[in-house]
Amino acid sequence: MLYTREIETELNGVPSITAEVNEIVKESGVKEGLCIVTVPEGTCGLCITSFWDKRGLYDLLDEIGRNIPNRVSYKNQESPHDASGRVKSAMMGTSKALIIHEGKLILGSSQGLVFMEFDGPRKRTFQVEIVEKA
Amino acid sequence: MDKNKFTSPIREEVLSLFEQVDVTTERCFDSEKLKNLMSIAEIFDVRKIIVTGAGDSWVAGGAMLPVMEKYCDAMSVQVYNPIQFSRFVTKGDIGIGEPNSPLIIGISVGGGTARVAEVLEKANALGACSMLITNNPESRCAKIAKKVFDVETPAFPYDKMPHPNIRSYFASLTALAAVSCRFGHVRGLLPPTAKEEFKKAIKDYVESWKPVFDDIDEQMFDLAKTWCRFEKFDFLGVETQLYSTIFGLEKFYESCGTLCNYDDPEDWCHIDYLCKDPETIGTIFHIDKDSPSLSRTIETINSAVHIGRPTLVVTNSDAEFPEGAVVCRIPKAPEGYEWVTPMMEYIPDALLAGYCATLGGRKNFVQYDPMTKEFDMESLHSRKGAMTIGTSEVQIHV
Repeated sequence: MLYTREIETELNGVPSITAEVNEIVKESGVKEGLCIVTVPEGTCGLCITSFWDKRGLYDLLDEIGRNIPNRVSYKNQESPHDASGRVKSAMMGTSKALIIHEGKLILGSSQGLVFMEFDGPRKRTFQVEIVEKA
Repeated sequence: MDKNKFTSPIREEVLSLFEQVDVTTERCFDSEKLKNLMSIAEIFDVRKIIVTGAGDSWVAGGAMLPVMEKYCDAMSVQVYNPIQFSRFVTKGDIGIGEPNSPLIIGISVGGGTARVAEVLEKANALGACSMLITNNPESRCAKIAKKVFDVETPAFPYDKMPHPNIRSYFASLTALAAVSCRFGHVRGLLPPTAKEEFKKAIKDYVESWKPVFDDIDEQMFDLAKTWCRFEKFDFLGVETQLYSTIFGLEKFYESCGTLCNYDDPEDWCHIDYLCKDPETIGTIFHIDKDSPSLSRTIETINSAVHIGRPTLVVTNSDAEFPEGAVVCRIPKAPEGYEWVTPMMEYIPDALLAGYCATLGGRKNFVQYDPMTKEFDMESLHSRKGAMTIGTSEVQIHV
């Protein structure tokens, strides 16, 4: 079962999509299986991290930015945000697979799925595939 | 009378904008074109921008100044008369010192204007970044400029003879909007979706003229039945509207050859107001609904009507204007995209100029007769020795 959701992002936004994905799992009715979340976007990323303190998310973005800064010298000449965003996206990854057990995602108590916007603001999509255990 | 029997090249160009807008926005906002125009590093180098051109092209720079100031993220964006820039501005005035700055944008549709060539030569001599916006990438000016923005305006039946141009003006305005959008995106002021939003705003605004176009056309045709006899016209506007006003004036010179003057609504009350025979001077005001000078302009319109000036007001405002003035209400721009207004607001002036020419039996500067479609390239104003815009001596004053 494939589900598609849209979100409006901000530049360098880090919105949590955990609640939406949990809702999809519940809606699917699957008790045991796999949940694959993917972001079909070239300048975004997806990660599992703690969402309790939002400042930690900005630490993450800052560190990514320090390693892959917005520069004028990328060969991709779309814009500094776009060029660095593509590298960040490739390095961070855009897909996660999670286990569904007893109808819920297996995540640590402070863990969540965080959508990382490296460009924006713009309308984005993420997709969720639910696979029931045979 | 059927107004279509009194059409003119200028009116045909206006009518063609409804089709041209799609092609021109696609070509001017083309991603590869914009990326190849200036690298990200070059865009970040630019600290000041100077826009210049002669005639319509200078006006295009002024009309698009608001969008350039808002989105280019430069320390300043200035519009210069070309001879003012090329002969009088000094190296110190424009802050040379940084690489690729200032960016000097010259606009020349045909690319053969001597003064624009001079501007670009001077920009190169100063170590600035020179850019040409043109419809002729093989032209003399294009060979001088470091960067060339080819607007690629589609051909039109009247291209083979000189005539009042609307399509190339529209393309120049679109190109300046595209450059602003590119700068804003690269410099982080605008989102990645800005290019599509700019294109949509321009197309939507042009589209919004369709339902009212016939009424405006009819209104100008009716007005021209009496105004076609006038030999003098006064054009009033301030700030952005001043440039649309001047563009309207230019179309009257080109279509009718009548004497024209422009001023702002304050200065006019001190000077031009005193001109004798007021009932023989067609007086055209441009005023925007959001202009801080709206109230002063209404006072000046009242003065014009009071002394007997035949008066036309072109506006997107719902305000009440003095009785006796003909008011042409034009569409409002999409919210947040008010800078698109100058892309169309000259249309009533252009239609009026065209009808004044055809109804008044006037010929333009190449003695073009819109009724018989004959013209003379050896006419007085076109003769070599008299027409010097392409042959003027180029001097570099650094």
